[in-house]
Amino acid sequence: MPDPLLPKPAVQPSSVTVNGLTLALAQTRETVSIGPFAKCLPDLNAALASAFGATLPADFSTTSGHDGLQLTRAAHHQWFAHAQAGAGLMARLVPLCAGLAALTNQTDSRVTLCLRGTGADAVAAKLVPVDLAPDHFGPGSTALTLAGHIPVILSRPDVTPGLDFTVFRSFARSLHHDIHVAMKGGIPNSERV
Amino acid sequence: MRLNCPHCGERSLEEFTYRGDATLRRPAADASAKSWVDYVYLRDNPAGRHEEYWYHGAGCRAWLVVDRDTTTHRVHSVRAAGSTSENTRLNHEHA
Repeated sequence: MPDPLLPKPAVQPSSVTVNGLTLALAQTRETVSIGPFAKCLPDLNAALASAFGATLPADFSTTSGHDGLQLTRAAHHQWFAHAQAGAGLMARLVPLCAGLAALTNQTDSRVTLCLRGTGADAVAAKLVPVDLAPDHFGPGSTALTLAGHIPVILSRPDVTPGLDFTVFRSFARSLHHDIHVAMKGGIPNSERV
Repeated sequence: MRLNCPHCGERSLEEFTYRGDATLRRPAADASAKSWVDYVYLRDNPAGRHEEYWYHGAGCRAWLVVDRDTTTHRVHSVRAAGSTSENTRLNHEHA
């Protein structure tokens, strides 16, 4: 008799604090990837705008719409739609995107690690090669990049000091370890200006 | 050297991998053996502007066409391989 599948958090403990910096596992959100069919992007954007008041961002950023919907550009010609757990996101998107885009439920495929606190950028900069300067990577910005050797979707959700790392669930423990080590290493003197 | 990825913006060279000459065109199936040898094995080493394929492995994971001057390293343009302009150009060349 096989063991039953039991839901377990992607990382444990779900929150760690080091020197005032906190690394926490984000609440699971419903996530659906949207892959527009050829030449369907204008019609798809029109449908999303009418239903949610938001369109797929053309650059690597996140936009917000009605009912807590967030649209993030996640790859070349692919976007993620996020909504709170229980929102029934897929059920709402299926009729809206019929004939316009391929939809895939990604809720269990990725998790988000949230790094918060003063100095979060300096710690993240040990792992990611992108320019995190506020005038270059401000609130709402998103980047596909590597954190160490792990592919991540990096985003800055708002003006509070912090960054979100969205990663494949199977890589979450490794990424959590790497960020935790970077946190324990402290903020480099070069960043203490 | 930095490349201005059309999807990700300006990124460092370390994020990209050179993937070869972007000007090569596959010969017709009934082309001569010489044409096939040239296509498979022989490469020019141009001095000046040249189009190259680069892969953005540490970013959007897209294939790009970089128009680069091999003598000055100046990058004239970077566009997505397979983009509309790319297909238009290829179709035009094959017409």
